[in-house]
Amino acid sequence: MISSATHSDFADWISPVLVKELRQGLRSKLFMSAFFITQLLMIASVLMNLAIASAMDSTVGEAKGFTDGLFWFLISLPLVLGMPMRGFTAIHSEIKDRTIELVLLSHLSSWRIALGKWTALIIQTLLLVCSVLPYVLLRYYLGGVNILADLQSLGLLFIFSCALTAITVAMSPYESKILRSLFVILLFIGAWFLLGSVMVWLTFSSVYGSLPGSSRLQPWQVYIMMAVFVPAFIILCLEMAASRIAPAAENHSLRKRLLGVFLVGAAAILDLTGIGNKNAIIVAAILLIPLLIDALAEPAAFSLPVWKRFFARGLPGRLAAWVIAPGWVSATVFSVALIAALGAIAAWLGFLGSMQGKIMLVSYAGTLLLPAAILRLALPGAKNFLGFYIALQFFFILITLLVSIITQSLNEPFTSWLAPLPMSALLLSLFNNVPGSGQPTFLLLNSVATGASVAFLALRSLMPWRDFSANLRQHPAHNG
Amino acid sequence: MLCMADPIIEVERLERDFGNVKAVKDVTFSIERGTVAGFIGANGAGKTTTMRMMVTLETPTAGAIRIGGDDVIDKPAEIRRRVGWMPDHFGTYDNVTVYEYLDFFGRAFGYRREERLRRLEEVMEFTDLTPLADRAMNSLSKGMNQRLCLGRTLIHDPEVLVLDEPAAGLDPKARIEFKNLVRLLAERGKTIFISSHILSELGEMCDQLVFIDDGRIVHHGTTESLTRQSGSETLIEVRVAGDPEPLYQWLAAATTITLADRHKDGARLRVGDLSDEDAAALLRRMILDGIAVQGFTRIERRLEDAFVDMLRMTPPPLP
Repeated sequence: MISSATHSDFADWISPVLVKELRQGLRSKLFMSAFFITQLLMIASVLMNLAIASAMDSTVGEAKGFTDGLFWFLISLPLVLGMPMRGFTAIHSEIKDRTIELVLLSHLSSWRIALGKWTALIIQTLLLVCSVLPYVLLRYYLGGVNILADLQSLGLLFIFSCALTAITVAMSPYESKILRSLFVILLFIGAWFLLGSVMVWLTFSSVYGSLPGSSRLQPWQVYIMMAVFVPAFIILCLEMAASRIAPAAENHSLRKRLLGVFLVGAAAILDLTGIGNKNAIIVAAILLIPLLIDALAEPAAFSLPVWKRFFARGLPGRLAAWVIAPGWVSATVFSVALIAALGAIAAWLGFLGSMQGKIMLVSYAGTLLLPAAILRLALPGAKNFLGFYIALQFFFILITLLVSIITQSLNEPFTSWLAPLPMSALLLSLFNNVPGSGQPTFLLLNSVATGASVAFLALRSLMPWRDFSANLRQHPAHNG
Repeated sequence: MLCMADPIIEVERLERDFGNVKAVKDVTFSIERGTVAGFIGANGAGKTTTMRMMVTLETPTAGAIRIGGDDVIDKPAEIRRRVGWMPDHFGTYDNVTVYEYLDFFGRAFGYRREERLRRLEEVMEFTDLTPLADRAMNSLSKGMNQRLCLGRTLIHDPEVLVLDEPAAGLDPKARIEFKNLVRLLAERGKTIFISSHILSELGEMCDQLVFIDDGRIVHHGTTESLTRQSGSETLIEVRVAGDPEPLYQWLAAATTITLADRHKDGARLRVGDLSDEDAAALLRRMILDGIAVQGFTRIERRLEDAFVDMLRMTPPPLP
């Protein structure tokens, strides 16, 4: 007989993956050490706070600023670095050990697996957050800090941790170590920068109403935007992870692309109702970048179960396949359509009234599509498409930086040389570095580069499409 | 090829390409319900790919697989309910006990509390894992791990078990234990499709054998049909009372029998394809011709020899 204690620790309604991950995660050395180290650091930080609060000399103000900064830095280490980093191994280790296949053969879907992995990490993060709450209260009672601001910051840290963990879980099925390392660097530089900006902005907004020079967004507007975009982004990340481990017979592209449509639709509603104050469209455009890159990197592999479902529905099914079937062929059509929708909303909101706005929209499309077109031409059979894609984008960023530095040191308008590169055009227009006289040239050359990318991808997509049709004709038994 | 009265596994003109590599080429066979079938082939012959397609882990490029009448492409969820898959390689989880591992799969297959507990107890008892319930799974020996993997395969009580090289890497004791478990499962009416490199072992366990080479099926039949298959020769061990010289003279006169080997009390004879009736007739003829036959034994060819012979006889694929 099996002892009753061993089988009654988790209720039946809890996801099986969550149960397994919690059993594993809570016993792991990494979590245990993160938990105890956090407690030690918090004790040290609060003791420093207390020491400074009891001191009565003129350096108190500066020292208090330092201990406040130290306190938040120490909390953010496990929440924004340690715990999200664990997401990188969430699915990778299961793929490496081939345990994921056994799980997929049960009643669990790839989505439930990804969600369970993420939730387990978030619950562990939440435990860490709860464990630092007593120190936040101590700071309030003994150190005289603003507890509401502290709780708000802690909440924000937790939300960032949730989003970062979702990103690392999304990256975890990728095998390429270079790709994963590049992502770690980019992710944490970007996340810390963004987190810092938002925390400073919200703190100032709480105290002074709004930050001088910032857009006229109120905290409630930010919270509404976060309530819309953060869950959508987390779902997108988990769907990306799920699609990487799902059997070939499942069409996850449809769900991811519907999320893309949701992001654009939500941005339109938020901005047109004034809640987003013309910022929601920018947030949506940023969140669409990973979605579209992921779609353009999808292999154009023929999966009989998926394609027969489209072809069985006759002409409407075939037309739908051009937009929502898995693979980069339909992803190209989808990307162009979604960016066009984004452009239409941007035009409605008045963003395209200026030449800079037009350059940004065209270069945004070109930045996403040109590397895809180059790689489909140069490396059509590349297995690590995403790795090459990101490397190419890094290369374009590097070129832009180099030319910009040389231009500034020589005071010569060399930047016009970069006009055909959409990434350069995007970066230069973002930082207002496109001279007014050169803007029409920039727009023209960028439009040509972007148009050529679209045209090439469209032509190149005819080949796999023809193969799919031929494959389906070869299997009349499965042809609906 | 065998004719099946009640096939539970039907594989029809199956193909699987990986880019330009054709891993499985036009494979067709069927397995009868309640049988133990061996799937034999060298590394890279297409065994694992075929098995993975059977359990819905790979999608066929062409052809069809039906398990219990359901197509793996049309009804993957139904197939997963019916089939239990035991891979050749089995990864472990850190910080998880044997019980927790099986409990996870019990939950994953949708068993609720009492039913799950009952299934777990049954499986652990069958695979003799109950004493190991609280052991960390990554501290188990290879043999224990294989039993755990088999236990996981049995959690949802599948009709068909697809086992890929389950005895690989096991010590002799664990191998015997595992063979006994397979025998018990067969007695319980499970259909077992098992691949292995150890041909002799498969011969003992299996009712049917399916041979695959270079992605093509080269033989499908019973173990006996393979070892005695048409076109291959039979060896007969004959012992005589007294001087074996009359036997040698008799053999020299015989046209369809050759002397393979002499020994002090008899000889080993090589004859062509020999049915049981033919063997009886040969023995009768020897006795009638005055040979003092004391022993007459058909020497079964080893499965390995039959496999090698068969591969030699299989024509190369058309370019």
